[in-house]
Amino acid sequence: MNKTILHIDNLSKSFCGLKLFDEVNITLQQGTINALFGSNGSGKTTFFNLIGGYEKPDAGKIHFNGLTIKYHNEFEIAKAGIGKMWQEPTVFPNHSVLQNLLVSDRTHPGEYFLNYIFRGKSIIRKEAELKDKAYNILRKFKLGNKADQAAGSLSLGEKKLLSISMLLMNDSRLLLLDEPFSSVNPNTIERISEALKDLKSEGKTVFMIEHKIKFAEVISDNTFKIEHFKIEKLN
Amino acid sequence: MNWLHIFFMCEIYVILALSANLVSGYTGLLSFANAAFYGVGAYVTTIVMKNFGFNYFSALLIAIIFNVLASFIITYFSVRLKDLYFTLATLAFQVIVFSVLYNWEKVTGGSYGISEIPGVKVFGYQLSETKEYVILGGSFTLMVILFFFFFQKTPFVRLLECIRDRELGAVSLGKNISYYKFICNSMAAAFIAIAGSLFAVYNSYIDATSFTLNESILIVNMILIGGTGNLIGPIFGACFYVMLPEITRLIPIDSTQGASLQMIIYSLILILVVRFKPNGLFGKFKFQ
Amino acid sequence: MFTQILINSIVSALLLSLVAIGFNLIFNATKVFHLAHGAMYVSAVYGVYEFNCFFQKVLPGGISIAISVILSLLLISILIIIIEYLIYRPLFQKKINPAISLISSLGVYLFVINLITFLFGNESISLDNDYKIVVSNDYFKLTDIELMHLIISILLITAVFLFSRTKFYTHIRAITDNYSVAEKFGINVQRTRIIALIAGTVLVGVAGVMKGYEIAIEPNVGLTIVLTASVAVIVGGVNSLVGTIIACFVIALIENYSVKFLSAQWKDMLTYTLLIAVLIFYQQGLISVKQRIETI
Repeated sequence: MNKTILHIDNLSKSFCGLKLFDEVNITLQQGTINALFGSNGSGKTTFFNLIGGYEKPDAGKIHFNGLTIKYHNEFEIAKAGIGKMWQEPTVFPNHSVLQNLLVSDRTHPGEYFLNYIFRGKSIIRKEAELKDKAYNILRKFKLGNKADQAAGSLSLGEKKLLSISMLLMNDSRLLLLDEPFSSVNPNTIERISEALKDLKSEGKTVFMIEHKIKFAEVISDNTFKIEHFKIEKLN
Repeated sequence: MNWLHIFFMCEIYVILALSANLVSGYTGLLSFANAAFYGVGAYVTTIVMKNFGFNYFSALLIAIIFNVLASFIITYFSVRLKDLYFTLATLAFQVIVFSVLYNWEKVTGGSYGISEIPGVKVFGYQLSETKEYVILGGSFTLMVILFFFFFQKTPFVRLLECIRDRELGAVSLGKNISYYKFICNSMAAAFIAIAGSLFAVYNSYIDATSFTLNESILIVNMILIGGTGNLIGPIFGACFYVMLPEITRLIPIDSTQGASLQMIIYSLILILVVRFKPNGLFGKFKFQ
Repeated sequence: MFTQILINSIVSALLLSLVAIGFNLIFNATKVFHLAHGAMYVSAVYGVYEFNCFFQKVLPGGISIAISVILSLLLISILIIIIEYLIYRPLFQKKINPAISLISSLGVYLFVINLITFLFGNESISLDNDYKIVVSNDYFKLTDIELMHLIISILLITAVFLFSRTKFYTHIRAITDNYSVAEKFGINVQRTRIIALIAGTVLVGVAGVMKGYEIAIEPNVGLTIVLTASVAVIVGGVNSLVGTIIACFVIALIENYSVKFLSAQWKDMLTYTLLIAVLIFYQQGLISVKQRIETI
């Protein structure tokens, strides 16, 4: 049986005096694709910010992979394996697609200053590995021909694909995706769906916010809805 | 025109400009504290050599350590404060450090400065001619340039540039931004200490008026006009601003007018560069 | 003795308030950290001095001064409009980073100050050397110049408060918050900027001229005065005129008392230490994650 990767325990959050969530409980299993629906303004984005560590809940706990999330630094939560893609995908616009991927790796010794003095060889080795891994991912997501193009010049759909592939490179276990299918053409929707299924087969967990309910339902294992300050599981 | 002197000053300012580029060019945060560290580097070297009898190279090492420790404040600012407020904090820091250097007579000699700074002995040979100091300075400058040359190609700098491009993107990939700011600020402070110590022994006299806010502004100008994010920009900017007074000196007017004419030209260049070429003449990044 | 320091502080606080309010208005309307404000301060004094030298020869003293002041304020108003059109507005339209607009403002400051030094030399000038003591009691003495400072400052500050009740001020606050939304509501952003710039510049010009009667001014004091004023604005709250004025009083008190009890040279240090303390501990300058998300 799949293990639980995310467990949300009695989460409550109010925003400027308006209640958003009231003792929400959700559990997600590893290797599943999950979708969250809800009307605009119902707090979906805030919910994801809470999981990602960008906001603090008023009450309740979030358990990820057995650990309880503490709200000190956002980067630590990303480092623990929760990756996030916002509606406006965060890519590095002035860098090439390839560079975007190379930077996304989580454990590069070349990113620590002291390693240049003591462990130079491991850096060289890692660079070579990285390039291979990056090209593989690019091929998988069909972005190979754009490797040297500036990320800022990609279309929105391609940026989303790049963002997801960066999270894959980053070895995120849980991917929080904010409207991955919005504002993209049908061809890209197809590619993104394929990408998500790929992620699932690699044991990653996807949790997405979506308005395009039909598409999301087709590929999701579980769907949730925010209603009346609670999140209910559908189907 | 004393070419040797000009060359030496170019060496010092190249080091200063490359260091300022490391802080402002890569983190995108504009710092006005450069002259403060320059001054501290110079004073620490001087005091250690004169009052404690250390030789130049030991004094240099101590100055570097001191500067790096002092840079923790700047790192703290860069982590806690937003763009504009960071710049203001560094400005305040600069003025405070200057005040201390200028007023703390007991230690720094106050407005009288410190004179008769001992020279440099390399393996027992006492350097005495300007030419020899130029070579000494040149060796350091070359080391710094080579360091940056190789440093630019590393994955470390690749990440720095991405952080500069979109900090939030780096955070969401799990990168510890504070660590990178810490490394940049500390390295810059270390290099600036070298420049300060070189100046002290070359000039054999220092006083706080060489390390004012105006000096910081000058250094900022160097990276602005030359551009940031690469080597050529700061090197060009440094040499340009060292040469500029020599050129204006050729115009036959008296010295105060000459000084203000120089400043008029230099502020005009600043305004024009910022207005029309915000990434400098050779730079890679705009301050966006 | 203490009362004397208090009175001196009040006078210098009021003068500083004029500069700071001007800076506040301009900073809010244009988001530029307007260091050139200091250049306007100095220009006003030099303007009056030079115009007066000229007019004195043909007109009686009082009228000569009056005309000089008016011409000088006109001059700096024209100057700030030129700066807005040539530099601030183009940078605003390019949505430039605030640190860059700070640098361009610094460039303007350096240019103007050095132009003045080039044309008139860098020795200090003073508008008047005489003063009479008009109020004298056991606690303090007040000169006629200081009295003039008090009256004019208070009048101007009152005028500013009346202004803050008008729609023009609401416009300024609106464009500070979100200028594109403000535009859609029909606010003329360009005109509001100009109004704020001129108002701020006239205030600082008057402050400069008044100071010129009190002590000798040399070109380089501009930077110090604008930096001190900016500390007051940040400490008092960028959004609050009242806060700015209160901060001016705090700073003036600190400076005047420290000159008396510590040595004069440390006075600057205290003001800047206050700035750093406020930046670190006060919300406004801190990065907040919410803001970071909102700027995606």
